[in-house]
Amino acid sequence: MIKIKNWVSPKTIDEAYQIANEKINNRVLGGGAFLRLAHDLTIDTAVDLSLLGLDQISETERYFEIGAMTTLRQLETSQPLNNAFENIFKKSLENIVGVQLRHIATIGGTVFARYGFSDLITALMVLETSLVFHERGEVSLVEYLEMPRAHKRDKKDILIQIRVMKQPIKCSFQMLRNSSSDFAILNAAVSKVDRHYKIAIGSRPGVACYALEAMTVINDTASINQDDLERLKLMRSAVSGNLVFGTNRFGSQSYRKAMSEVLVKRAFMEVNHEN
Amino acid sequence: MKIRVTLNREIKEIEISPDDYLSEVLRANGCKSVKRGCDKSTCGACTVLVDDKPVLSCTYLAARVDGKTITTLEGEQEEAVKLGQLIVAEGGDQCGYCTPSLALTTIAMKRELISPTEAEIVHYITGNLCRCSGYVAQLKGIKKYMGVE
Amino acid sequence: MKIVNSAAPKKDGMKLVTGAPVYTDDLAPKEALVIKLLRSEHHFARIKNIDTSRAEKVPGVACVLTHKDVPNKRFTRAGQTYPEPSPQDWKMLDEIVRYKGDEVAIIAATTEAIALKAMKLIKVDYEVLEPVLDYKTAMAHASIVHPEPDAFTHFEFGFKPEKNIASAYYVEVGDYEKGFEESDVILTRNYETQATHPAMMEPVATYTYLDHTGRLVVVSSTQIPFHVRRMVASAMDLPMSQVRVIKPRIGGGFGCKQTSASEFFPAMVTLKTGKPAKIFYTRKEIFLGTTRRHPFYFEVKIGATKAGIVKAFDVKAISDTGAYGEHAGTVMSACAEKIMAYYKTEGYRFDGKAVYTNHVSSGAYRGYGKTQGGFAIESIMNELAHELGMDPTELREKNIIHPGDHLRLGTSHVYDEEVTRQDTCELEYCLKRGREMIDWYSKYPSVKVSDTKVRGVGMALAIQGSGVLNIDSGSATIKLNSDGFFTLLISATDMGTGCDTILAQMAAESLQVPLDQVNVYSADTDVTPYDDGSYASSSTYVTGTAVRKASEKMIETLKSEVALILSVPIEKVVYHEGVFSVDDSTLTLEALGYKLNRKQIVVTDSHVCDKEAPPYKAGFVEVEIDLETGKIDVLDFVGVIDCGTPINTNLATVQAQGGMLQGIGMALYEESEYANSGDEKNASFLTYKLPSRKDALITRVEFAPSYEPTGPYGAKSIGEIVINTASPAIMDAIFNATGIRVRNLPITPSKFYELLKQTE
Repeated sequence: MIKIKNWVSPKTIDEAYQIANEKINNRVLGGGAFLRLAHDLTIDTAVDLSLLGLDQISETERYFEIGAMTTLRQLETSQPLNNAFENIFKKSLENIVGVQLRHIATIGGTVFARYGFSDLITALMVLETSLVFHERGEVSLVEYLEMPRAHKRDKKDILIQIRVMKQPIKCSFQMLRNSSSDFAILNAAVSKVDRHYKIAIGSRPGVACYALEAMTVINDTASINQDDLERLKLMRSAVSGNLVFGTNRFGSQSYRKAMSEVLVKRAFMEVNHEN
Repeated sequence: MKIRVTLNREIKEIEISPDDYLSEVLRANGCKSVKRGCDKSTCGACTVLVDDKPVLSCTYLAARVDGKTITTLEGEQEEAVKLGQLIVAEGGDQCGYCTPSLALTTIAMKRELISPTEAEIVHYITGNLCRCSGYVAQLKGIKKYMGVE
Repeated sequence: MKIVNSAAPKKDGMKLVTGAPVYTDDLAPKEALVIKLLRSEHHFARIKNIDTSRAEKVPGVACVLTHKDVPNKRFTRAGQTYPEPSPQDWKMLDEIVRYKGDEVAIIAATTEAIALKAMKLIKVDYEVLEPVLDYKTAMAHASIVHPEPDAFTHFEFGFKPEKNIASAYYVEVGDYEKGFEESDVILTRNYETQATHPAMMEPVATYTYLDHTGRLVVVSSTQIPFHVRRMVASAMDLPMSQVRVIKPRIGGGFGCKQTSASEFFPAMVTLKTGKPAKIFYTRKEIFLGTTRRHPFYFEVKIGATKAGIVKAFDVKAISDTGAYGEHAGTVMSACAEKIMAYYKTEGYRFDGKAVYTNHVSSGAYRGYGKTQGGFAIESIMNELAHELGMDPTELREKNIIHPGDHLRLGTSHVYDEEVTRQDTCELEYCLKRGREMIDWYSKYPSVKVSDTKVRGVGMALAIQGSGVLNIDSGSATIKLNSDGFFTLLISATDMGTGCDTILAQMAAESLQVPLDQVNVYSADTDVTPYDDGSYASSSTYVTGTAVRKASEKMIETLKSEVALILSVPIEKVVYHEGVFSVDDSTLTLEALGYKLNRKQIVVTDSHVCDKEAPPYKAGFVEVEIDLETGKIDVLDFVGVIDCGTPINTNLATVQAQGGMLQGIGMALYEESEYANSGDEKNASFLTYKLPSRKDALITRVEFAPSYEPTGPYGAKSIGEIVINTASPAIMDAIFNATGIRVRNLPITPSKFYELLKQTE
């Protein structure tokens, strides 16, 4: 059961930050979709970010700047964003429950909580993504995901913006679901920027991380010639090298391990497909 | 706390608690078309429109809608009848528990999508689960409503 | 006039789709106390002590009740005709809790939040007992789930609580031993079906109040109002005359609402406090506090000649009835009685035991044993076909029964030949038409799509019941009103199937009036006539026959009234489409209605199911399998059904489409899984996945031309049979495509893939 004693909708981020840190049980709310996933939670003051104008997707010369309160549905339907990244937002988001939930859940909430089942984080991993926090400033997504989880007594920072660098990119998102609106058994994304590949695997069931060994195999060759098949094989066998897979009701550890190679292969082929 | 909303075109002030979900507040205020089906933001039966966008009211905190416009099927009866007749003609109404929310999602879809394909229609309403109908009869009625085929 | 066999829209359709407040929780009085149930946190425990004192002190709490506060009565929650075959093993609140979720205390308060707050303050001291968590070994387990001496059965059904057996069913039909002796090929295979949930969209809900005479009124989303009246009266220690049960619109049931889950608690609170009370189960409580499909483990043996003549079956079955024996024996016997009855063998044997475990209770769910048993029998038929190198459809053709043949029921009861003779049995038509529709011969066994994708086809047959022979009964009361319209009173419980409309169609057809001249009301135990309720596929066939009889009786009664008014012999009165005529003079229904204001005409008739008129079905499926991932997609699922002549073509089609999709859910997605600790892992729609509209759209349903002479307007049943063929057909389609056979459901990508790797 969720208990919320007080509600504030601050007009500035400073104010939000200050209230969030006034009491240990004060809590910043993103879209709030997590509330139905939580069991018991008591919040002293819920700090609502919805009046801060953080629900915008804007473009600068070098970046897409996505406000933390931007909903998954906005990302899914944003033409400029999807045009710039080969529809990776649409593809990674369109199977999440339904339009109605995607109108609630936000990019900030998803990224901040580092959900293992997240499809979006896997996609963001293969783009050049950084997070802008109110206090900490800019941190790369990868760096953030590797940070230890904040302790209850730690200062609560507020995620303001997700910044995705514009670059000429080829990318692909792959996932495996049993029924169509279920959680992914596994997901994978691959991107290629100027012959440099990034490979990320998520829902392992842990949160997305890079398949570093496979990336080494594929990136550490001075020149790329046409006998990619051999290298592809090598890369495939290296995919699960540094990754930890687990068993849950969606799939066993060994199944996930095997599937990681399949999904990465598919993403790799798509990225290298001419059209 | 008090929220001020436009509920089905009527301005209302409603006393709520910060942890009230919108679905319960709306049901308590007479909007019984809003159903409780899963309590876990998965079935779609609680769909309402907040500023014209379909959301799951079982997951949406009522405190969030302060100053916003809320529409339930009670406020879209004219469209509900039009769409309803098409679904009922196909036998797609069945137990009816999921249909008010499906109708509301469809009404929102009609305002958002311009000449969608069948696949786009199915995609838009996938979040509305139905256990009775197998979805086919519903889709036939919805396609007619959308003016597709 | 043709009102039957048409696509009449449902009478309640427009109100349902436009969101009218017609369901139980929509109608509950605002001031009703809200009830929450404290549920056991242990699989198996004895309550040593409960302290409710702190909870009771919370402002707004009306009462907190424990096993010490409720009548000490043991009964069954199963909605079955009295005397119920299910063991009387349930108590509203018991000192022993038998599964994680079993009710421990009732909390009634002015709001849900207060009730939940109070619940946290209840202190329970448990003596934790060693639980029985594996049904296959439950009979030999040291723990006894029902040690209490006061559990009993009304009649012998194999109840042996000391061995954790809730019910047992054993039957030998014909000379099965001779059959095996004459067989060239004998196959033995094991199959397992999982616990799946009815998962109707409207949760279980009830509210109660005392009426102006002090009687207890129970308004509930139930399939079984009359059974609820009996059970609630028994549980509360009230005479039945003091209980009235009303059923509003029901948001789906599928069998879940054939077991009374929620009614007792508000009834108890209303009696204790004198105040209205309501309960509305959360989805989690639906998973943990109602019933689901019995999981089954089968050992099946089949014998056949090289030419493909099936000679005998031998089936051993164990089912997991969970903590209580609701429907345990009848699901088992329903399985035994029909799943081998449509094959012409020398004979068969069935030996089934439903065992207690400390899992959530199992109960009724669409298909009721035949879904599980059909999966086993149709699967071994498919395996036999492959063993014999024979096309599975042609193997069926050699062995199925035809019109005029008799069902070989798996029962020791000897029925009159009239009862078992199949006047309609279009299995052969269903089989051949389905084969044609799916284009079997060009697709069987498989078609390679690419290096990583292959398609396969598979098929299965199915049978169900149309009511339970000599048990299911329904009644209809028809009243003529002032200006000539009729009121049809029934207690069949339309849970979305449209039976109100279907039964009104029959009445309108018989009474020769437009459909809008027949109003339907269902169900209120004070007003509407007795009916067992809507289950066992009985509403159209059984209650429908009662409606037809009552309608005909109404016309005869009205004719005699006209004869009296006009002083002519009744034989001279002719009735046609709302007009009575005698020679040149006529009297309309409208005029007659006014004349009879001084003599109210009401007729009632009843019908007891007295014939085995089961529906039949052939299901054909085409699947595509991704060999790299094991992902299975259903591309096409054809259903050809002999349900007699459908009364409402639209509603019959939608029953089929919905049921077939539920079948796909069972075959591929749905499962109540247990953690190593025995805990339920999937008690929400987050992980218990119902098929969505992207998973499969079943567009190809056809009905065999068929007219059942004993059914109303030629109809048999449709509601349950439609769920039956998906699992065996999909299993064989996957095998035909890949050579991999997954014999335990659901067939998930992960399971398939592991087997594929093992065989490589």
